[in-house]
Amino acid sequence: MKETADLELTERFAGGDESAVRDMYERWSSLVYTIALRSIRNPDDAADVTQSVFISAWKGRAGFDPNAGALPAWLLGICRRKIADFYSAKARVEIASTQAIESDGSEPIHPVDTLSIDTIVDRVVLADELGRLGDPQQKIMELAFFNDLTHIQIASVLDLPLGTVKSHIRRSLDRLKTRLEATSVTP
Amino acid sequence: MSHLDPDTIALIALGESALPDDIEHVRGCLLCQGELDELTAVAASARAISPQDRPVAPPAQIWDRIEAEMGTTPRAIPAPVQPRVRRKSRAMFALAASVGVLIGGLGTYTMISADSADSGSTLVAQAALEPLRDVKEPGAASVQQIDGREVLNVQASGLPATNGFYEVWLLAPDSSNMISVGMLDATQGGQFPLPAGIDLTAFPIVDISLEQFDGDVTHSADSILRGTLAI
Repeated sequence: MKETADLELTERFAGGDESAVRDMYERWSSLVYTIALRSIRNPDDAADVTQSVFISAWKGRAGFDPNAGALPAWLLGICRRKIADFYSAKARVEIASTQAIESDGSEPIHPVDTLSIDTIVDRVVLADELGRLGDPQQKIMELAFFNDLTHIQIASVLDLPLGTVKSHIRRSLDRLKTRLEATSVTP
Repeated sequence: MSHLDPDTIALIALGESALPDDIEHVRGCLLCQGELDELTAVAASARAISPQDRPVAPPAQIWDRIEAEMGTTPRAIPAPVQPRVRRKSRAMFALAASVGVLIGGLGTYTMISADSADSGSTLVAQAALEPLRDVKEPGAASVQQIDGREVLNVQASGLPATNGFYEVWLLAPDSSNMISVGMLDATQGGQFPLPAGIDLTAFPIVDISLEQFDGDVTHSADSILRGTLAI
């Protein structure tokens, strides 16, 4: 059902239907914003990036080829570029200010513990999908991922049949994998 | 040996202990090994999720900014045959609230046009426009058919001077859709040719809003006068 809804949205967007942007925003703005926020770490800048991503998507809709990939992958591709643009603009400013204070002994600020944009995208997408699994799948996967419980322990904790837990684990992992593939971008 | 059961591969990917036979099979089987590698990578990424990775919604005003900016984008797409109907979700709550109060509450309809007796001009519908806020005098609206075209007449002489401007809209009964008809001269009222083929029963509410010069083409949700056309 979700795939059908995404497909319908994709067709409306590709057909130039302005209202599709609103639906895309409702569906994916949290992803875009959180990826930008995790990467840039400033809420105002992340909000600006989010705005520019959806504006660029609308203005550049002619460049979206539904046959080449899924709409969220395309949207997140724009998101990556906007974050990269943000950093290159920032780098120019930092170089300028570094040159200005070159001799006063202060050190330019470099980001520490910087995750690659790919890592951030993967994690936020997975966190998003995990939240959409529904229960008991979400609970099962959280116990497996974050509490390191075995499927036998999970079955006991949640009082579910072993076979049910096993098949939920396999289906949920498959679903997370599919979602990652659908949002991965080949630039 | 046959391939591993997918459930088992998933469990191994999560780090659960596997039977020696299963491990041996995976080592010699490209298919199972490939599947295991993929799921192991997914599990590793998922385990690295921190609370900050959970998606949070952007601030509410971001959508307004996007919509405003989109409104200034030249339309490269040909206009649809239907009259331009824009989604106005931001304004909807406010509008729906007041429409609910108003529907059915309009008993008086006034004839406002002296032209209706002229040849080629037929009165199609009319409405009294009731003040929704600090406006003293009600207005009036009528739709006439003139030489086959429908024209909306609006009279509203009691509108206060403003730094913004007044805009005339036709709304669906539940405010889910609306059409901008044009800018209203507050001192003179106005005549607005309606799009050919418009279904007035789908857009029976005449609404005058106060708009600011903020680049936002959507309804401000600041309605001044409103009435339902009696068709």
